[in-house]
Parts: sequence; structure tokens; C-alpha cells
Amino acid sequence: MRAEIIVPGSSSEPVCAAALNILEPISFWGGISPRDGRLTDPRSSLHGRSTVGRIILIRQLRGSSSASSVLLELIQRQRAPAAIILDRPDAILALGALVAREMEWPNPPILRLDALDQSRVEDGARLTIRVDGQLMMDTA
Amino acid sequence: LPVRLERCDQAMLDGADGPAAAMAMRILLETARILDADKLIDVASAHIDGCLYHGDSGAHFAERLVEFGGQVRVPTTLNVGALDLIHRGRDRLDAQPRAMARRMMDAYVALGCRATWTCAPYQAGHRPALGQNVAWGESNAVAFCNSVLGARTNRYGDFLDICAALTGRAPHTGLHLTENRRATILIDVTGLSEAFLADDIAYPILGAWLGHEVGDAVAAFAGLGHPGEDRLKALAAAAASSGSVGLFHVIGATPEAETLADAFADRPPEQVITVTADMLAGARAGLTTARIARSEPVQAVAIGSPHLSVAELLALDDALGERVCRIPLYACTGRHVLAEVAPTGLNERLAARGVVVVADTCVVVTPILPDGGGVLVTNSGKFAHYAPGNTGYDVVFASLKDCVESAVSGRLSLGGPAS
Repeated sequence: MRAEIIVPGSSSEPVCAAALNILEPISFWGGISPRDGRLTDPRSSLHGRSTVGRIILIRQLRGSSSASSVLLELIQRQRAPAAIILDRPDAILALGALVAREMEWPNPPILRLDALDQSRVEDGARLTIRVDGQLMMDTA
Repeated sequence: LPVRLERCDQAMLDGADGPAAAMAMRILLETARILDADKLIDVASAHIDGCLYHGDSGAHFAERLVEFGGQVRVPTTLNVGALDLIHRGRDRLDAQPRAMARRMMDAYVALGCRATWTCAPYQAGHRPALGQNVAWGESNAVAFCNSVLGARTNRYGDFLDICAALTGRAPHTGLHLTENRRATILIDVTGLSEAFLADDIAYPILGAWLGHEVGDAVAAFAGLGHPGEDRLKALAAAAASSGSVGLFHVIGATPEAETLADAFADRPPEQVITVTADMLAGARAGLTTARIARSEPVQAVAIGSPHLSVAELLALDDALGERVCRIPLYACTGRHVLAEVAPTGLNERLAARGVVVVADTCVVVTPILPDGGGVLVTNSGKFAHYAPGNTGYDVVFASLKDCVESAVSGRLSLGGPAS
């Protein structure tokens, strides 16, 4: 599978990490703690899970004007996801990574992958994302 | 297709206006590319939501822009910060985040923004003209600006808002384009009772319902009459929090909808929804999360999201009369309103009766409500939406009258539903 790159990551190395599959609609502001990267919505089945260092797959991003602030804060605290995969481009979330780049703080890549393709990735599976967006599942 | 640069854009990118404008232009162009915009356009003003403290990173970004000599190029107002600079000691922040929140607020002022600190800038003198392109942040302000003023803005997220202000430019996309401003959904409210529509409580309920129902589509109301600014403000705020409504029309009342044909740009509606009292009952119930009955104890009352206008503050004064609140009643408003009513002594009169006036910020964006949680009563659709997640309080949505009665008695007052 190949994901479309919305904002490239700052590293020239491929990203290798475990997937966290977020099926319910999620808003970064109010949905993820900017301090520790945990999922905070008590109504979500993933409540309390950590997004730190994970490749998070988001089926449906609920828009919030402050999503960019939350992502930038996670990046500065070195608590960001390893990569963020969305079902469609989102300019506000992307801003968090764009501003991080300007601040010279290492930013994770933000990519786009259809919800259908996302559903082929199992929660917890180890993934490798190459810098060109090629996405591979470690089957071992 | 790449974003087409005009000469002024290229000059800014090359540093002709200094490193802050260059940085803002780089961020703006990347965003324009993600949004598939063909070019940038001039904006006449900006309203910044990015000045609210979410952590140190935002303060560092703002201070970097100051260090780089950034100055806004268009008149720019500021949304709420995390601190009430008028009434010290309102917030329960620790010393470190308080200091950083203050540094962040100071940095935005140093960039040339006006220290308005309000989510109702449109009632603090910032009123762009019909058809003017602007770059505003804060969802309620965006919905009001588009719908009630007829000026044109997309929802500018944190950081993009200040980049637009520093360059005077914004991506040519979304609600800046005439074709995206026509309504596609007709909302017929002629079946609702006159008594219901004559009551303030109808408007946050209609807004909450609208946001759930249409998401980010453009709808036009028929049969709403002339609700007046404060009611449209309540409707817009609720619609922009329950959904992503950035623009709606009220046929016969808002500037781009003199007639039904204007609102729909001479095309037929793609969908017609006839609103019934039953449909609104669900939206109204969704604004309450606390499972308590009438006369049970409540811990706090909050009004003023968006910030109270002078008229709304006077309505609070009227409803309270000479009585004193038994539990705190937080009234959130802007310093522009406090300045206007100062000669009348209203501030002191409200304080003497137990009203906690909050300026420059509000109770759902910074810790102000008493620690420990409980039940909060509010007449704001937006507070009702955000308070449970942000404050830990459960909410009861009620009329202004019931908010005041609950504050006076310390127990939940609920009059009969107006619908």
C-alpha cells in the first residue's frame, strides 16, 4: 500500500512502529492529552491508550481549530505519534507539523490513506512507512 | 497544481518584509498547497484564536515571531487567553503555566494585535463589511462573521490565523469563494410555535440541532423572522460546536439572504427539512449531561459563551434583582463590555450580589470553576458542549431565568419547557 504524503517527516529514515487503529471519530483538542499523548475521551473504547511513538490511523478526524496546538505541544514534549495517517488531508492538523518544522523540532510525517486501506491494518501490527509513503506490514 | 505566487508573495517569501513574514508566508503556502488553493488573496482583518495557552510550545512559536520582528499587516483582534487580566486570581493555574500563558498573551500584543481578549470581537468594534475577505479564528466568531456580517472567512486554525495577519494574505478557497456560500439545505421552522421562537432559549437549541444535522453544509432558515444579534450569536456558537457550521443564512434577516432565491443563488434546495418540536427535543436533551432532578443541589452557574454583550449583562442584572447568589454565578464577558458599563456601577453591583465576572477568558478554557466538579447550569449551547470534557463538571442546559434562580437557591430550577 502507498499512502499519500501530506507533510513529510523530518527524518530521512523509514518509520517503524506499532499501529494504533482509531476507529471512532476523534478530535485532537479534547481527544488527546497535549501533555502525555493519551486518549482522553471517556466515551471512547480506547480511553487511556497512549498514542506516543505509535503510527496512528484515524478513520475520521473531527475538526478542531486547536488540533495544531495539541500536535505542536506533543512534538515539543517528544510525545508525538511516530506517524499520523488520515483518511483525508486536514490543513489544521498539518499546521502543527509545519510549525514544528519552522521551529526545528523533529516532526512525524502526516499521510493520507483511504479508510478502506486503513482497515487492512490490524491494531497493534508493526508497520514500516518508507519516506515515499510506501507502507509495509511486518508479517513475522 | 502549484499555488500561483504574486510578486508581493514572492518578495515576502524572499525576506523583503523580514524573517517573521517570510516564515508566515512559508507556512501559509504549505497550507494553501494542502488545501488545493490556486492562489493567495488579500485579507482586510484578522481575529486570532491561537493566543490561548495549550502548552509552552505555542508561547515559544509566538515569541519566535516577535524575535523575528513580526508585525501584523492588517487590523487584528485577539480571542480569549488563559488569564483574566482584569480580575487577578480568577484562575487556578499553577505558577509555571500561568507565567507561560502570560508570556504568550504578551507576545501576541507585541506582534501588533489589539488586546481585545474576546470571543465576540464582532461586538467589540471589529466588524468587516459585507463581501470583504478576512482571516478569523474561533468557531463561533467565524460562523457569526460569515453569516451575520456577510464577510468571508474560513475557519483559520491556531498558527494559520497569525500567519495570515502577518502577511495580510490567505488561501483562496472554501468560503472565500462565492459559489461555496450559497445554501444547499432549506430549514423550514414555520411549524414551531411563536412562543418558542420568542424565547431566547430557542436559539442555542436550534444551533445545536443544526450542527448535528448539517455538519459543515450551508443551510438557510425560513420562518425565523429577525432574531437579533445576540440570538444569532447563540445560534452560531451552538452550531459551530455541535457541528462544523461556518456559514448559515436566515432568509429575510442575514445579508446574503434577502430572499430565498438569493440564499440559494437561484437554484432549488438540494434538501428541505421541516423542523418540528420533537426534532428539537432531542437536541435540547443532548445539551444536558447531569442526571439530576429539579430542586436537587447544583454547584455553579456559568453564562457568557460567547462573551456577554451589554444587553445580556443587563438582562442578568434584571433577572437577579436585589437577590444574592448562594453558589457562584460566573458571567463571562469582554473588557469592552466592562468598560462600557463601568460608569453605571454595574460591575460592583453584580459583584456585591455574588456574580463572579470573568473577562479576557472563560470558564471552559482555563481552570476557574471550583476544583472537585459537580453540576454546572448554563444557558449557553457552547458551554453545554464543552464543559463536561474540559472542566469535569456535568451540565444542565436551562434558560437565563432558571440559571439565575438556580444560583440564588443553590438548587436546580427548571421552568416548564417553552416549546
